[in-house]
Amino acid sequence: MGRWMTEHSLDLNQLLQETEDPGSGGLAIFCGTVRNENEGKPVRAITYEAHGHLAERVLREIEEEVLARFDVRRCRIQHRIGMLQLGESSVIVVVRAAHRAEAFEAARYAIDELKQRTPIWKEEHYETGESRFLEGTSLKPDEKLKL
Amino acid sequence: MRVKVVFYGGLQRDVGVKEQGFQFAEDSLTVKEIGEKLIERYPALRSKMQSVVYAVGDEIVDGGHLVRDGDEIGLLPPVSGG
Repeated sequence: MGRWMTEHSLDLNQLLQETEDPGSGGLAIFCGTVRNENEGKPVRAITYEAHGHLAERVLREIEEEVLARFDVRRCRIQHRIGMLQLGESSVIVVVRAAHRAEAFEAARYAIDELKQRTPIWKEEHYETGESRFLEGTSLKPDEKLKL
Repeated sequence: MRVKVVFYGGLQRDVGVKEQGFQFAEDSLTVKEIGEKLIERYPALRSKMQSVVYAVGDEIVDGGHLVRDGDEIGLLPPVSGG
């Protein structure tokens, strides 16, 4: 895949290196991991699938928006696809800013927008052997860059 | 015209395939018209299509978008990334 979507394990250290910045005094990291239950059902793994090219573009756009809308200096987002086991990271958001308030706020914005706008779907695999695709937010056909 | 349709997320469960090529007699169709043809072929899609968004190639398009021969159409149900 690419810079934003990957089939490989997410590498937080790589993203920290990429975003190194002596002008930043605040670093906010959000990491989403596979949880062992959902709505009372024991989960053993989650498969993530995506419209790869479109998802790459949406995540790039969200990074650009974060840099334009908030007083932050660096932003990187990566999401994984494929089958993930319990505890594995599905998504990482890294934001660096001069101060902590902006870093927290921007990281929150990035993950919230990702969940609303990125063509990614999760299929939960349960301990019972069943599996199910989760439905979340409908995409909007006229979604444009929110600068 | 020939198109390829990719069923994302849970839609592949409803239709039984992840992607499928289709040949239509018409020279020109909108994505919405193709969606209606898909519902005729896969009635399980009917209740889902209201919340489905179409992608042609790498662009999200509205229902009036004209599809060209050889296009790839993605049917995108509500998303659940993160």
